[in-house]
Formats: sequence, C-alpha cells, structure tokens
Amino acid sequence: MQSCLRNGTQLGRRRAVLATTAIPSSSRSITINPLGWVREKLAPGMAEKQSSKEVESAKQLARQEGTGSVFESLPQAVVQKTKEAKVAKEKPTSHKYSTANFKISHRKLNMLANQITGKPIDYAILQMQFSEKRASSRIMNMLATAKDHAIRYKKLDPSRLASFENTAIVRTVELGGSVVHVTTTYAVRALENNAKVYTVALSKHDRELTSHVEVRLKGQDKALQFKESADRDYSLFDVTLPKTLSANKTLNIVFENIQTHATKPWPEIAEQGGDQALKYTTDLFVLSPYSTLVQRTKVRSLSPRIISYTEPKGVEVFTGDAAATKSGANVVYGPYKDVPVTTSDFIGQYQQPVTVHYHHDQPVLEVRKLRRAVEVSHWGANINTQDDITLHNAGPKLKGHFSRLEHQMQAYMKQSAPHVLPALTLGLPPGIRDVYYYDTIGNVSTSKLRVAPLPPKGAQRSQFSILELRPRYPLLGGWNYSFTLGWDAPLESAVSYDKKTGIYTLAVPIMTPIPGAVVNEEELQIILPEGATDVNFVTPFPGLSAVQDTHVTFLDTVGRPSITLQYKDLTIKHAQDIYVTYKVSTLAHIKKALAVATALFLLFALGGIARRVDLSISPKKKVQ
Amino acid sequence: MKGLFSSLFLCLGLVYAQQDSLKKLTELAAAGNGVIHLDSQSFDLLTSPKRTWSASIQFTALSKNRNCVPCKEFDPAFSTVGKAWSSVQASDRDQHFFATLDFDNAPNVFQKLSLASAPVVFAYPAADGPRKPASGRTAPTKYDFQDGFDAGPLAQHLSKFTPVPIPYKAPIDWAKWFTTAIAIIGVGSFLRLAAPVVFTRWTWAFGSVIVMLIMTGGYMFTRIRGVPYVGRDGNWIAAGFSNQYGQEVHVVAFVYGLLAFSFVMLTLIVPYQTSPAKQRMQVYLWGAVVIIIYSVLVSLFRVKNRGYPYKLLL
Amino acid sequence: MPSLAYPVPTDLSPATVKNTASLFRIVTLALISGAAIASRLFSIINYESVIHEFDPWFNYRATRVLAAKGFYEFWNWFDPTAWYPLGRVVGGTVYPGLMATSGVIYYILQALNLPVDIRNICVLLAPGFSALTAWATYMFTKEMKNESAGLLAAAFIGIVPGYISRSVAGSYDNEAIAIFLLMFTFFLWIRALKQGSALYGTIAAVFYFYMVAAWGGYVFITNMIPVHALVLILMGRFSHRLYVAYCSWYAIGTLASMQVPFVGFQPVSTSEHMGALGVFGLLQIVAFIELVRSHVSSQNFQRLLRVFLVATGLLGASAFVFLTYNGKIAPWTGRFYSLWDTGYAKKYIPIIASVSEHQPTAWPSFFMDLQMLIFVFPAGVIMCFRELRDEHLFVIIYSVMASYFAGVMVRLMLTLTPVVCVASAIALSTLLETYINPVEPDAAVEVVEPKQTNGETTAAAAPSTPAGKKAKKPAAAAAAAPTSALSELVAVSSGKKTASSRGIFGLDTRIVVVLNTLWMLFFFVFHCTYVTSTAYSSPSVVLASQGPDGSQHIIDDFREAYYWLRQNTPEDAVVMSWWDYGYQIAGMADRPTLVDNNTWNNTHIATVGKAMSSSEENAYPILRKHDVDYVLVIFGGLIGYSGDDINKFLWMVRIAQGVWPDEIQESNYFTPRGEYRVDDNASKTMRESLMYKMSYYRFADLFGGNQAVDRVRNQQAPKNIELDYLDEAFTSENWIVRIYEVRKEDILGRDLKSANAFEKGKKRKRSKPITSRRRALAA
Repeated sequence: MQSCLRNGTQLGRRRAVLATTAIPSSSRSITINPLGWVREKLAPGMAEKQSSKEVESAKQLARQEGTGSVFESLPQAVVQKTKEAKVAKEKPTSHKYSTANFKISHRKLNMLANQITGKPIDYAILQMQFSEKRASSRIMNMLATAKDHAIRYKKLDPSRLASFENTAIVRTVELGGSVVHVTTTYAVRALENNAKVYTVALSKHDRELTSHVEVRLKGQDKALQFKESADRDYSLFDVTLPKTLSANKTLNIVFENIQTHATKPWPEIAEQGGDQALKYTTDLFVLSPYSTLVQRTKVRSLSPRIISYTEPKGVEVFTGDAAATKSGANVVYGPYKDVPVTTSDFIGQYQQPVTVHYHHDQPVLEVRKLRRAVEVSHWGANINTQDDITLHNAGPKLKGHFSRLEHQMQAYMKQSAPHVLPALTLGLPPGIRDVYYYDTIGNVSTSKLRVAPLPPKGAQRSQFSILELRPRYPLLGGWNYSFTLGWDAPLESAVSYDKKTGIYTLAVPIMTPIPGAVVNEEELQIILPEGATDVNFVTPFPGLSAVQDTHVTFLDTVGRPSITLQYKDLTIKHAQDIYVTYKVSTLAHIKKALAVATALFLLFALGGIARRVDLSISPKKKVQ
Repeated sequence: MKGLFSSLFLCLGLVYAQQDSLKKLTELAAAGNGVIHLDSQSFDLLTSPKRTWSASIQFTALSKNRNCVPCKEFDPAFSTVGKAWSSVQASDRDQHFFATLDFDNAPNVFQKLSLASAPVVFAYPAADGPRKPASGRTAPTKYDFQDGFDAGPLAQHLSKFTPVPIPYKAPIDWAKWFTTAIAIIGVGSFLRLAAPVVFTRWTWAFGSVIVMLIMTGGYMFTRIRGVPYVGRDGNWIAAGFSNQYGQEVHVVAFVYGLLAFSFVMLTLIVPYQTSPAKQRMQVYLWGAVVIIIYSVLVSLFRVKNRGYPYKLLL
Repeated sequence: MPSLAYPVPTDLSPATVKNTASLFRIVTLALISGAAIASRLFSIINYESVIHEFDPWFNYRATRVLAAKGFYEFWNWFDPTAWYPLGRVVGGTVYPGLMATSGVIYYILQALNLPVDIRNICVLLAPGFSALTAWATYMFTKEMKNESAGLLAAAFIGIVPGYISRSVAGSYDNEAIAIFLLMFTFFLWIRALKQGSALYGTIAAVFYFYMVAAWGGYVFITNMIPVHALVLILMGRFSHRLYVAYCSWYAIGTLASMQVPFVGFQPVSTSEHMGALGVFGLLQIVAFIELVRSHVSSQNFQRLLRVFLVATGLLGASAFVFLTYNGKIAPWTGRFYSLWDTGYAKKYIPIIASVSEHQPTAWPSFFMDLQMLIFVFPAGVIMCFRELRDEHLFVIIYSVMASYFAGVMVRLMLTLTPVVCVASAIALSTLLETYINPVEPDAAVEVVEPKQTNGETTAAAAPSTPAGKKAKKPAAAAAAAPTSALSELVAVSSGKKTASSRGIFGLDTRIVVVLNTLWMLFFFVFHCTYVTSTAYSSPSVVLASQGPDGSQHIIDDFREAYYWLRQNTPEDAVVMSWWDYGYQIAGMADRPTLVDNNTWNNTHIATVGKAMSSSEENAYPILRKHDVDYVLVIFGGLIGYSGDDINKFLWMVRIAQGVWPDEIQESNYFTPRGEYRVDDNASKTMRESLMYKMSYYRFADLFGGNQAVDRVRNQQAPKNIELDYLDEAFTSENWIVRIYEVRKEDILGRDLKSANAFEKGKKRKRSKPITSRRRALAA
C-alpha cells in the first residue's frame, strides 16, 4: 500500500519527464515495457531512422493520455531511460539520446532513473557522479555524450539547456472593480550555469483577461524584456534575465499582469440602496514549466467584507494544514509544497478554479468606447484634445426603478449606495484652457475645474488639473452615459522643436485614465498640422491597428496628415505617451493664409467688375 | 312556483307603474307648455331610477326675494328650448322631458344634490329600457355655461340626450336687421351729402390713425376677454402685465394720440409759423408736452410692469 | 444768400458730399447689422448655444436629417416616431424654407472645408437674417422717403424687441427668416410698382415663393399686395405700371407657390387666396376698360362702363359664392377665421385657443415691444398721408391691418413691427431734417410750400390722370427724394438761393427739439437692451434661478430627463406626454411620441388628454392600446415652475371633453364651489385623475412629517398617493420632469391593482419606519 502510494507520486514525477516519448505504453507501467523490449530484441539498429511522423503520432497519443508535456514549445534536454532512437528534425528543439546498446536490467536502471528523471541534464550528471550504483558511471557518460551531441550536432543553446527551479511562488491578487492587479513573484534558483531565459506560463483564460504584462526584478523598476509565444491553451513569456545566472544562484522575478473584466457582479441585480458584491475566479495553482518548492496565492479585496471563498479539494498532497485561510480582507491559498512541473494530467488532477465573492464599495466603471482626437495647430500654437466617452456602470443592474426621493435621502444621510456614481474626478494635464464638457443635447453645466499651472520647461509633469464632472443624472447600475470632453493646451506643453534637424516631436497621451475604469476599445486619432512631412511615431505598446491618412478640416487645401490607432482593454497602466515626429516647412505654414487672401481678392475683383457692368436694356429707365 | 308568480306580478306592476308615471309626466309637460314645473315628489317621479325616459332639468331660483340675476337671464332660454322640444311628434317627445325646479318649491332637492348655486342644468339619461346609454352611465351630467346663457348652445348640448335633435331655431332678430338697414341708408345718404369731406385724405388719415390707436391701446384684448370697463375695486388699472381694463384702452390711446399729435405739430405745422416768436413758443410748448406725457406714459407702464427699471421725470 | 442758423462749410464740392454720404451710409449699415446680431446673442452669453423652446427643436431635427441625408431623402421623409402609431409625412407637412436655407449654408461651408456644426448654423441663423432684415427695411424705407429715413428704420428694426423676441440666437423658427423675406418682397413689390418693371415683379414673385416655402404667414403678403392694388384702382390710380407689376408678381408667384407640397392647390382653392385672384381678374377688366376708353367716345363709354361693371361684378360674386357653396373653394381655415370671429377658436378649436401665443395682446406688451415707436408711428402714417404717393398707401394699409392683427394675436406683433419701424423712421427723419436744416426762412413771406401743392394736385387730379404724367412723377420724385436734406445743404453751401418759407427760426429751438429727440432715441436703446436681455433671451429648455447671493444657478431638469430617456431606455420605447413636449422629446430623447406640437390630429391629442384626465383603471387600456411604455409629466411644485402640466391640465380636460363629452366633463374637475384646487378638497375626479396622481406621487414624503406645499399653487400637496398601473421610472433633480413606466399585464393574470396590493402587503413589513425619513428630509 505504502509503496503503491510512493509509486503514485513517482508516477506523477516520471510522467513529467516523458516529454516526447514515442512509446506511450512504456509510460503506463514502470516495470514492464513490452514494445520497447520487443524492439530492442528485434532490431537493435533499426530504430536509428524512426520517422518524425511516427513521433508526432506518438505525441498525439501521449497527449490524449494526458502524459504529454504541456510545454511542447519549451525546448529542453531530457534524460531518456527508455531505449529509443535519436530523431533528427529540421528545427530541433530537443535532443533524444537512446540507450540502445546498453545492456542493463531495467530494474536496476529504474532505481537510478527515478533519481534523475525530470531533472535538468547537468543536475542529472551531477547525481550520477556521486551515485553509489555501479551503473551510474555508465549512465553519466551516456548523459554527457547526449549533452555533447545535443550541443554539437543540433546546435542547441547550452544556456537553454540549463533550467530553473522555483523555490517559491507568491501570487497576490488585488481585487478591484473592473480591473484586477495580479502580482506574481517567482523566487528562482538556477540549476545550471549561465541560465539566461526564464519562462513564465499563463493559462489561456488568464491570458485573455490580461491586458497588460510587466516583468521586473524584485526591488528594481526597470522592466525586463520578454518574448511571448502562445500555444493552443497556454501562453509562455520567455523573460531574458539581465545577467546570466550560474547554478544555484537565486533571483526574484516579479511578474505583474493586469486583468480586466475579470469580475462579475453577483447577484446580478441590486436595489437602489443595496450592496454591491462581485465574484472573482482564478486557478488555484500557478503554472510553471519548472517544479516549485512552495507556492502561495493571496487574494486581497479593498473592503474586509468577503462573503465567501472556495475551499480547494484534493490538494492535501501539497499542504499539511488548511488549503485556504481567510484573515480580514485576505484569502490565502497555500502554502503548497513541492508542486511539480505542470503537466496536463497534473492539471486534470489538481488544478481547479477558486472563486472569491466579496463586497466592493466603488462603482464598477467601464468605458465602452473612447474616441480621442488630438489636433495640433501651429497657427494657434495650440493642441486640442477631445474625448468622446461612452461610460457604462458595469455593476449590478438596478432592481426595480430609480426613485429620486430615495436618492436624495441617501445623499442627505451621506450613505449613498456603492454602485451609484454621482460624479467623476479626472486628472487632466496642467496648463489647459477652454475645457468643454457637453453631450449630444448640449452643454452640461455641472462641472468644476481647478487648472494646475504649466510646470517650467524640463520639470516633471508634477500635478494635474482636477476636473470634477457630474453626469446629467446619477449613474446607477447598468445605466449608460455618453459625453464629450475636450480642452486646449499650449503647443509648447507637448511639442518640442529641434533647431538643427527642424524636427518637431509631439507627445500624445494615449488616454486620460478614469479612476477604476477599463476602456474596452479606444480609437486615437492624431492630426498633425497641414503640410507636415516625414511623419514617424513610436508607441509604448502595440495597438490593434495603426493607419496613416489625411484629414481635411478648417479651410484646408490639401488636408492634414493624421494617424489613427486602435486599442482595446486599456487600464491606468496604459496611460502612456505616443511620440510623433514630423517636419513642417515655412511654405506649408503660410499656405492657408495665401489661399484665403487669394479667394477674398478674387471675390472683391468680381464684385468690382459686376458693379461696373451695366446690364439694363435701356439706360434711361434706370432710377438714380 | 309561487315565488315565480309573485315576481312576475311584481314585474307587471312595475311596468304599469312606469306606464302611468310616464302618462302623468306627459300631461304635466303639456300643461307647462313643454316644461314641467317640478316639486320634490314629482322630481323623484321624473328621476326615478327605473325611468325609461331621459330628462333635462333646470334648477333655478326665480322668486323676487332670492334675486338671482343669472336665473332670470337664463330662464327664458331654457323655456324656449323646452317649447321647441314640445313641437316634435309625440312618439319622440314623450321620451325626453324638460323640467324646471325652483328652489322655493323644493329646497330639500337642492340639499339632496348639494347644489350651492343656481341656475344649474342637469341632463338625466334614461336609466332603463331601450334608450339606456351603452356606457351604462345613468348619472346626470351638468351643463357648464361656457357659451353663456344663450338658447342655441343649450339646445345643441341637450340634443345629445334627446332621441332626436331639438328643433330649436334662433328667432330672427328683426330689430338688428332693421337698425343695420337704417344705418346703411343713413351712411349712404351721408356720403352723398358729405362726399367732399369724406373723400379728403385727412378724413381717412384721421380714421385710420384712430383705428391704429384703439388697436394698439389693447381694444381687441378687452373685446375677446370681455373684461369690465373698470375693476370691481373701482381702480381702472388692472394689476398684472398681460391684463387690462376697458378704461385703460381710452387712456392709453389718448396718450399715444397726444404724443403723435405733438410730433405732427412739430414737424408739419410749426415750420409754417412765420413769426419767430410764436414759432419758438410753439416749439417749446410741444417739446414740453412730449416730455411730460412721455414720462406719464412710462410711469403708467411701470405700474403694469413692476420690474421695469427706468423712469423719467415722474 | 439765405440766413443760416449755424455755419456750414461752403467749400465742399457736391461730389465730395455725395461720396462721404455714401461712405457714411455703408459704415452705418455695417454698424447696424453688427448691433442687430450682437443684441441677439444675449441668450448664448447667458446660457449656451442651444436650440430654444419647442418648435425649433423640430426644425432642428428636420435640418439634421436634411444635412445628413440630402434634400431628396428629406423631401419624402416619413417619420414613424411622431404621432405614434400614425406617423407623419414630414416632407409634405412642413414649410421647408428654413431647413433648406440652413442646409444650403451648411453645404457651402462644408465645401469650403469649414466644419461648422449644423447646430451652430441653426442657432445663429436668426441673428444673421436679422441683419439682412435691417438691410431690407433700409431699402424699403428708402423707397418711401430717403436714405436717412432708411437708416433710421434699419436701426429700429435691428434692435426693436418686437422682432428680437422671435429671432434671438437659438430660436430657430420660421419667423427667423420670414420677416426678412416679408420686407424684401414688399420692397421689391414697391420697386416693381414704381418702375412698372416686370423684372422686379418677377424677383418679387421669386422671393414670394421663398416666403411661401418658409412661413405660413405668407398669406399676409398674399392679401396685402392685392389690397394695395385694389385701393390704388379704387382711387383711380390704375396705371400700366401697376398692371405689369401685379400681373407679373401674381402669375409667377402663384405658380411658384403651388410647387410647395404643403401649399399645393390652396392658392386656387381656398378663400385666403381668393382676394389675390379677384384683384388679378379686376385688373384685367380695368385694363380692358382703359383700352376701350381710348377708342370709344365718352358718353357711350359711360353707358358701356356701367353695364359692364355691373355685369362682371354680379358674375364674379355669384361665381365665388357658388364655388364656395359646393365646396370648390374651401372656406377660411380655423386659424385665419379666428382672426375675424375672435370667439370662434375658443368655442370650436380649443387647441388653437390653448396656445399662449394666440392670446390677444394687452397694451403693455405693445409698449414693451415697441416702446416709443408705438406712438411715433401714427405721426409717420400721417406724414405718409401728406404726400400720398402709391407706396405711401401701402404703408398706410399695412399699418391699419397689422395693428388690428397684432391686437388679436400676440404672435402677430411680429408683422406689425416692421411697418412701425418704417413709419416712425419716416416721422423722426422728417422731424430731424426739418430741425437740422440750417436754412432759416425769411420771415413773414407767404409762399405755398411747393411739395404740399404738388401732393394736393396729384391727389385731386388723380382720377383722371393719364398714365404718361404719372410715369414721370415718381421718377422725378425718386430722383428728388434721396439725400434731399443733403442736396439742400449742398445747394445752400454752394451759395444758391432756395426760396423756402417753411423752416425754423433760431438755434435754440433746433437744439431743444434735436436734443429731445436724441434723448428719446437713447432711452429707446436702453429699453431695448433691457427687454432683450431680461425678457426674450431665455431658452425655455434651460431655466435659470437666482441664488440668494445673486449668483445664477442653472436648472437643467428637462435635458437631464430627456437624456436619461435617450441613454437608458430601449430605442423604440413609446413616450406619452402632453403635446407641448412632443418635439423636445423627439429632438432630445430621440424616442417615439404620441402627440407633438404639430397639432394636426385633434382626436389623437384628445386621446392623450383623456388618458391624462381619467382615472388609472380607465387610462390603462388606452395606454396599452397605444403601447405606451413611458409617461412623462412636468411638475413644478417643488421649485415653483409655473408652466407645468397641472396648470395646463384644464386644457387637456377641455380638449378631451370636445371628443368624449359624456366621459370627461370639465365641471367635474372643479370643487363644488367652482374652484380649481389640488389640495385635499380637490374634487374626486381630480384626485383620481392620472395627471394628478403622477404629479404628486410621493411628493409629500419629500417633506417628511412637515407640511408638503406645492409652491406653484401655494396649496397643501396631497399625501400617500398610490399608483397601481404605473411605476416611477425617473424623476429629475428638481422634480420638474417625472417619468413613469407603464406596467405590463400581470403574469399571474391578476388585475394590477390587486397584484400591487399583494406586493404592498409583503413590502410593508420590510419598509423602514417613517421617522428616519422625517429626519432625513427635515432640511
């Protein structure tokens, strides 16, 4: 019984290893391996040329049995215990070395194999070095050769062959309305010299929710470069470490992702005076291509009133005491010890959604559509910014009807319901003028503005101009309100001019963040002055699309170059600047004035002529 | 069995009761020359809940000591309509009755209906039988004297409750025709005599200016609204911006006219004055008139429009 | 050398004087236009650039359609959202002139790459056209007297409140352009008449067509010009100039006006237009007679004439009567008929009578709108009588007719205003010319004033003047008329001797009169500014209230509620309200309405009136039949907004009564003592009526335990009103607009009353005690 249990765990371990095994059956039993055995018996060398096709089919098979690795795309050198052929692929990401001419009883071999399965190659070699077993030295040599071949023949990057281990993973979920901050800290130990690339995994569902990803080393605020690769149901972020790690060195990597639309109101309707409760659901375990010694997930809500949370099932294996604990505003899942490399049947067995149901005291806001048009005018030395905003209260829908009486009572007793939005406060850029706030049917007179002075050149943009605007009516759950907000800013506040090159550089903020709101989709149009040439622009992060065309307005003759960008799911993290560079010649500057002058002149000329022409048939009939 | 018989008899009895009460009413109507003069029990008879006929009843107080002026004004109209109704053939006539109830004959009825004022006309639709209204509303409907005490509108209104429209025709007002005829002839002859005067432009000028002054004085307002000449409390200026009394028309028109006249004098007459002294005197005179009358007008306007900020001499 | 009251420069060449004068004229006209536009912008400065009141919202909406979809789309635009479920053929039931105008302006600006918002075009159209009106009035008055009078008239019409009241920025209504068209058509008519030119007659016809396309008031022109022509004929002033002018105008104008779908064949089929037709016929006859007269000897002619006239007269009259009798010619339409028989509207068309701008005018509003002009203008008319040229007759007739109409209807003050300006300008300029003219008469010489005699003779000799002479006279007069004062001055300064006995002695007299006049003019300007800024510049969509510290506080409840409807109700939710708010709902909330301000279907309006004035049980089937989703009422009780629905309620009752006399009776809504009350001793019918309930629903709760007071009626508001068939859906900040949702039938098939009672029974246990509410709303 006991052993069986052990086997179970071993099973789990070993399965992870059989990355690309061609023989599924072998994975099913530790002891007997008929097919491999038969092949061994029949044709020692024939396996030399095993078609990659066969391998593929085997992979399929393996996947169906949940034994395939979940990270196909992750290249790794793996140790083979089963006797099997080397496969030559066009673009090798892995290397297989077989123990074909290697006479040893599999019982003996298993002992050692169990010790090193799943471990990185160097680790395995190390183990073999100090093993008491007789076979160990031979295995060690074999492994060394395999590594050698892998590097030499297949040009696999030695550093990539290196691998990591998560000594600890701490995931902190800060619950919000429509935006949820998830910060995952990986305490990483390199198992191998010159480890350079660490891979973070996100499940498909998480990836869809995620609108912004940022990776840092703990304690530093310099973002690390990473390259994302998506799979059928996983996304991998290959983070390039600032410096290579040698074996057993540790590092703390902070992986921040911001999720939007991750919460949903529950119950879905609330009375005018009622509470607002949301539900957030996430996976219990943090996925990782590396085994993890201990991992913990902390879910924190703003208000201490957490209604309920899921108790995870069947994870006693990883945790001694309670699988989840709640203290005040926090729900802690874990710590879970010895979480292995994620495999699909690990997921099948242990991974499970956990849901936290909590009170939220701010209205859940959502900007369904944001159209921002930024128009630069060199004549007026002015930059006009205009936002067309469609605001939606995504909290629980209003149950029944709106009663002004109740609303006024709540306002009077200073206890307005959490899902009612009476007013908004926006931080607009400093030094702005002529702020206008209107909607489809005219000006909205209920707004206050405190303009902050423009900071001196070179100084950081310190404070904002605070705009408090009230919608025409309080925004209750499920209600919409669309309005237009615009302002003028002096040209020098956003455009800098380079004398030598004659290049203007314009900085355009992608959006003005509305506190706690997510922008579902944005269309940003930047309109440059007429006759601007050599237009280039740099965006902090890629948009869905970027189009350059011309926009004709105010007495234009040829029209103005304009850039239109599309974005989706923007949060406060995205409120960054786009930089546009362009040149404007002097001729282009005065072109408009010339055109207007000419037109007027022609008009007067015509008038003069018309006045002097006498059209009457008989002049004497003309009066005076 | 017996119960059925009894109920049958009851029904028959009721029917007979209806029959003879109808006969009684018809006689009464004939006696009263189309209009029944009610007292309390005949009133109950007329407005019995099982009536198969409809009725229009005038509640009034005609006796001297009540001195109800509108009652006296209205009574003839009602009786003429009743008379007109009595001229239709019997089959229709006996399904609708005109009746009048004087306060002194049956004060208790007034109390019962809680009538505080007179005259009042109620139209009782039939409560039973074929002519019962489809809507089933058998409550009496009141006639509001929107269009005054004339017989015409009354007949028009009551015709909605009678089986056939009331054959009421307004009597031809001979007096009016006569006067108009006389007036036409008079004017004609006058024109013949005074043609030289009439066809000078200044007559026309005078006429049209008068018309303009009257109109701009708000005459049509008083006509349409039928406002009194002076207010009840005796003062002749009505409070309120969009309101006025008859007398204001005269005053305002006069003021306008005086001002206009002084302008005309200054422009047309004074320059022909050949002696400088007289002319100067006139200029100053008319100038003074203009200033003073104008300030009178403004102060008059300020009475009507409290908020008006400007004032002249007074 | 005549004696001068004050020295004038002698070394001026007439050319210099002429040029300076014309320069001055241009500059002055420019300034006047500036003033006219500027004084209409108060509403934008005090509030914002927004469309005003009610009808403008429809015009604005139509214009948006025109601008967005183009003219043909607009032309056959069927609007299914208005008059639900009937719908409305907009293209055929509007005067498209206004929309077309702003549409054209919009397209032009677009073509110039000037992206001006269509709303701003609509808002600023009226001020722009007021400048044109000033110019048109200038031209018109110039025809009457001379440039200086023209300038005065232009200045008057530019700032006179009577015209500003309908043309402030934002009041985007037909009148905005109509007055300009009116004046300009009249000017062209006078021109055509003076010159007898078919060209001007045709241009007049074209502008008449524009007017027809722009405003229902075109009928005023249609009758004004024929009357003028008729009077001229009667005064024996028939001439070929008259003939040419009138015929060209009438023929082309009538044909053109029939192209407007909304007018169609009216010009030949309704009584309003018959006068023009009759005069047209008469002119032909008279012309024919003239022709005959020139061929036949006089005594035969007399006999012939008599027979002929009698015959034609009888024939025409009988034809007219006959046609009217068997309905070929429609009798007067209600609106026009109510101008003559003033009691008519109240009795038979309560809808027309209920409109505030159809009320008669009391004298203060005359003075308010025209101030000093109102008494100067009779003087002007008298001056017109003095030299009685054809065009002066026009002014005289115009003033008499217009002053009558203005007395009958407030809105027709608009047609009176221009002629008042013209006449008083004539009077004042005559006065000023007389007293500024430096020439002193030589005392005690009796010479008859030349102009005077001239006038007399024409008048006396009128009946038998041959056309030739008259052809010369106006030309001469016109030549003499312009810059008469100036030419005189020039003549004097250049030392020519003009023998004039009329004139003023001494300088002081001149100074007195001139100063007096100037002072009045200044006062006039102050008055106009005051009236415009206070009375006529508020867009009734936005209300302003003065705070205790005098600060202006905007009350924006209408737009709050309308925008809520627009944003948070389904696209096709049908909104029922009284017809006043139909256009606004369509324009701002963009939702289907049952009735709106184009009151073409009395029954439909009466249906709404009935629903509003009958009890819930009776109203509910009506609401459901018209699948009404929301009911909107205006309630001013909280902040004392007096123009609310409770005050209009009696009209609803009256109109409903007109159609269902046995279900709705006005008398039931009064207390037994005949008062109209809303407090506890209101009549039962009143208290049960839907309107009443919706207005006061939960209003008393707002005051907690205290006395709930309706600040409009100054009466105690009723307590605990129950609504069984409606739910309160939205109430604006100051409770002005209250929107109720009509409940769907109960799922369990109970009638809603009992269902509601059941609900209440459950609720009452949970509801919070009244005391807390009282504390809440003690403030």
